[in-house]
Amino acid sequence: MAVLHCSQCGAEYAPCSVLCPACGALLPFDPSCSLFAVLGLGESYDLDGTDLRTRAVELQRRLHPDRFAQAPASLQRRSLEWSTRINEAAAVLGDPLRRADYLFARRYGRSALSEAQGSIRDPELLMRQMELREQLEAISEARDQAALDALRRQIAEDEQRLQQQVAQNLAVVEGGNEALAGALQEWQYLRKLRAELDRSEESWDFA
Amino acid sequence: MALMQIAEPGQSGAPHERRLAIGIDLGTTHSLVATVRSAIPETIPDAEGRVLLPSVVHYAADGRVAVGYEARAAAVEDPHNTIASVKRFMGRGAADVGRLAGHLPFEIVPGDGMVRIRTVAGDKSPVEVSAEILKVLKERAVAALGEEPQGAVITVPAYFDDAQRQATKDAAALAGLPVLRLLAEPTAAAVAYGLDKNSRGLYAVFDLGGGTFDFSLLRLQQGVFEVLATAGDAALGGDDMDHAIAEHLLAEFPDYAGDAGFRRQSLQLARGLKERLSEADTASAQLVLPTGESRSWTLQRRDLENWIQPILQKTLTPCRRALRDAGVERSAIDGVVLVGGATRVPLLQRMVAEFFGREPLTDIDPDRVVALGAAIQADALVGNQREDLLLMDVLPLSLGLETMGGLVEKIIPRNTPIPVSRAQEFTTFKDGQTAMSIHVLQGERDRVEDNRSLARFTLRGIPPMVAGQARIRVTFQVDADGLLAVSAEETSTGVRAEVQVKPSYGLDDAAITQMLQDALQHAADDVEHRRLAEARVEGQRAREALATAMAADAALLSESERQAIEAARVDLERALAGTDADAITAATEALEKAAEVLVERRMNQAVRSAMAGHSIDEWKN
Repeated sequence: MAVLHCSQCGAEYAPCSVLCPACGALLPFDPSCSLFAVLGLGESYDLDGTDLRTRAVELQRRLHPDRFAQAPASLQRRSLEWSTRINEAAAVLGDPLRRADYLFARRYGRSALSEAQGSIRDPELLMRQMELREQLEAISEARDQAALDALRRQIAEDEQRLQQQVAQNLAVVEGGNEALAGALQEWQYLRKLRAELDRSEESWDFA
Repeated sequence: MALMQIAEPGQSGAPHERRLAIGIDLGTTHSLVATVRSAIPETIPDAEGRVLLPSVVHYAADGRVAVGYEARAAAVEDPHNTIASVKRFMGRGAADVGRLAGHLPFEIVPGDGMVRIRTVAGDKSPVEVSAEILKVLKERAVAALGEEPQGAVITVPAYFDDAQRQATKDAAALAGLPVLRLLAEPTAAAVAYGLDKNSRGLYAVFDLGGGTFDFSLLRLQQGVFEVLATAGDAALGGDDMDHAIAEHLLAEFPDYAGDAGFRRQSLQLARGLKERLSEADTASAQLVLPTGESRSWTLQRRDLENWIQPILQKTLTPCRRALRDAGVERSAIDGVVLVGGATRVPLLQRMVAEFFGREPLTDIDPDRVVALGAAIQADALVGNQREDLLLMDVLPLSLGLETMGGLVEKIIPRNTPIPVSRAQEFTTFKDGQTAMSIHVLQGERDRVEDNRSLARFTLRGIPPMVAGQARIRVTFQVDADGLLAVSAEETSTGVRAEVQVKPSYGLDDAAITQMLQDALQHAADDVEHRRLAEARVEGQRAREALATAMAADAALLSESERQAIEAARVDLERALAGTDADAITAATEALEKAAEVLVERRMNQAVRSAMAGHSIDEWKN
């Protein structure tokens, strides 16, 4: 592996470092680094949300474009790229569903979610989705707040169950990817349903 | 080994040299400028000691431009050439401002793209009008500080979309002011409060300005201000209260409701009444009717509150939306900050207190707090201490693309922290297709027409391939100002597609350059241009009227009369093709004179035919 040196102070640094460990200079942007690596984290589904946020904020404190408002254009560009990447890392890894899909993609070379758009292969899952959707439509029509809250709780429980299932699956190194992909897709449908539920409730506010 | 010289952030070449930077609150009704001196943020007053600059610009026929109090004084005399609340038109098209049209004393020029306002000194873009305000603030800062500032932080409503932000940046460029950052107004307010008190926790900022409403939720921690969610209404503000009051006043004097000067006077009186009723239960205004008579009009706070209550109620919907987006309960909020002059209204303070279950903070003058926060950030951006301060903002409105059937697919959802970048892959649907159109939109609705059109792109230079083979990766990058840039690449061949941007409402660089040149030219050119345009309209009107009359009644003329009229018509055509306003006016008058005989005979004929079949007696009384 090539040895990397800071162009400012000459100190050696590890691949995927954001700031020079010796002088703190912003190092060249490397788009190939994983979202875990840029935050200095090991690649694992299990992580501490507070620690993740603290790492992201501490990095932003030093590399955000506001720190480079008067710097040369090349350095401003570098800051924008890093800052964007850190935001992405915080958003993707901070969300249990997106974090799982990111690990899935690292493992199997494709996202389980992007290719599933619009098609559910599992007939059982399809039926259940349709039932939930009909339930939501009925609630929206009746403007039944209690029923809506109950549905929201039920979705949250289902998401919780899926998260545990996904975590177990990801903990196994040689897991079957079909089961995992299916769980992630189901989880995404629940997310969409929850968003629709929020929108439905929001439209009541306007009325 | 020679090392590359890279400046460390926060360190200038001469570390002890202080750099000057300013913060500007470019408001709908008032604008301010502030700076940090001796580590203390302060607003900069004008020569008369006034801090607020009314955001009003007056254009005179001789090309003189007045800004501020002077312009506001001209408003009653010359309402058509006095532009107030121009912020409402920034980055807006004619369709957006339709709602306001009935209220406006000045004329909006119809057309595509950003609206223009007709004045005696020519049609003005809102960007140019805002630039006049910025120029005055910059001059004020230079006079007070004794040197040019290195740059400015200009605040915008958090809820401003891309077109509105871009227009604000363009205005600064036109005013010759380097922009360090566009900063969301509520965030600026939080900075002013947060640094004063060294606060930490969850804060809500409720910002009701003259024309815009913003609500933001922030997490404060060790100098880091993290915006969790923002929501608002870009067309809701204190002005709406003034209009509601003015409408009631005008209803009492229906005979003069159509008089532009009287309408403007009513609006100013309404604002004064609203302000005085924040302190008192009753207030009276003295008004001068267009006839010269004086009248008195008295208003009770109770009536005022009934009229403005529906307007204030509208602010709560965005509050609920932001709380939901952030996943925050009202009870978890540690403090509510009120910003904007309109929050002085007691009814509003009661409503906010009731909604959040706590008394709002109002320690810092709500008119100044945004400018002070902007000055603090400007000071940090040029590298003067404050290395602990960092503002992390969000995208206020979702970005999306038009898909099949006129629907919008969201690419970056609202309240995503910025800077942010997202890539989306597209493919071709025809064999050998080499170009593709992409329509970028901002907003939350499903249908294209319900969102704001930001830009249309044409990707060209896609290598010809079988349909569905090409992989075109379009990357959307939103920077720390909340501004969007787009790039595209065909990934299977690595060909970078050429991106043509057509901002739907913004101004491209060429337009800005043109405006800069126009501004440098003598203002008389604009006046001349206007005279020419008016002469042409008159000339064309005379020509059309003649054509209509000739088509119907040419038979009424003798051959020599017809030849005389024809000669005058040819002269007018020739004049209209040129650019001499006086020649056009003279030719128009000559044609009208030559055609008098025709007009007279047509009139007689019309009278005769109307009387035909009636006895003379019928026409006597």
